[in-house]
Amino acid sequence: MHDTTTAPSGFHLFQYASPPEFYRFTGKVVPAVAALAAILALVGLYLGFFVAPTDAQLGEAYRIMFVHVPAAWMAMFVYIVMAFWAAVGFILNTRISSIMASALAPTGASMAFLALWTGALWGRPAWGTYWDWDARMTSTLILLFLYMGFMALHSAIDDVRRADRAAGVLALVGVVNVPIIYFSVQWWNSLHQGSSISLGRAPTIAAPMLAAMLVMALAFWMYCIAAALTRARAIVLERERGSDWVDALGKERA
Amino acid sequence: MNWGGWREFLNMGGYARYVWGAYGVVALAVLIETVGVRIRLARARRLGRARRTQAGGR
Repeated sequence: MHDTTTAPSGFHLFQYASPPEFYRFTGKVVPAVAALAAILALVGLYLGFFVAPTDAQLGEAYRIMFVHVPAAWMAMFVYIVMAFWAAVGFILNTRISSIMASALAPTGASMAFLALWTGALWGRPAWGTYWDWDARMTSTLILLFLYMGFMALHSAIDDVRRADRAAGVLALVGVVNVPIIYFSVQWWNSLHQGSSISLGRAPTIAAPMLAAMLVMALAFWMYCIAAALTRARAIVLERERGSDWVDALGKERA
Repeated sequence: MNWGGWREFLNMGGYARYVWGAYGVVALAVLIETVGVRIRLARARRLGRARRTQAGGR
């Protein structure tokens, strides 16, 4: 094996900021996280379709909740994590941090799209309309545009480190949108129902429904980690192309 | 158990197109992204190797 890092044994803060270290470490992490996502999804789907009872008001249509709520949560959460890594990359000038931000953007965009799509298909039977320009739906649409703007801006600038910084600023400015989405149902009168779960308050849905939703949320979470880390590994190789360690990697597998 | 059989399960109490329309697109998005990132990673690995071969041939 090659030794491109001078990391001493034991953990230290910037150990995985080294591209080869990051690549090797995530190579071990991703299969485990992906397997966990698959298992959680199977358990969650079982709970959601076979254990959770039919809803008294919405009938079977409410089962959309088990993918809608996790997708909406992840759309917001992934954005915060993306902005965090963009900020770290901006301040400390660490390449892996900016790569993490770039790797998270498409996954977050996918989650935002799925939240909107499943929400529309739930809204139709629940409220009689696929879409309404209310605060929550509009701010979630803006979230999708922020992800797309981040990706578009990043790919529009040739110098990759300049692209990291410019897109990073966009990501940070866009963070204000996340609390707007989260609190929109409290701040504005909305067609959208309030939260079924919030901190410091008992959940307003039945236990089997809650269990299905939480297991599905964990599955989505693990999925997002696996997808974003795999994309991050690809970006690391793409950006480090020509370096000794990527060459050595090619040699290993040849 | 909520369902009397496969037909009843697929019918989703009359909400089939909403429920399966939602789950179907989620499954599709997950599939597309999973395949996409794996192809991208495999290509990045292959290009690292191609460059190696090229450099070795010189």
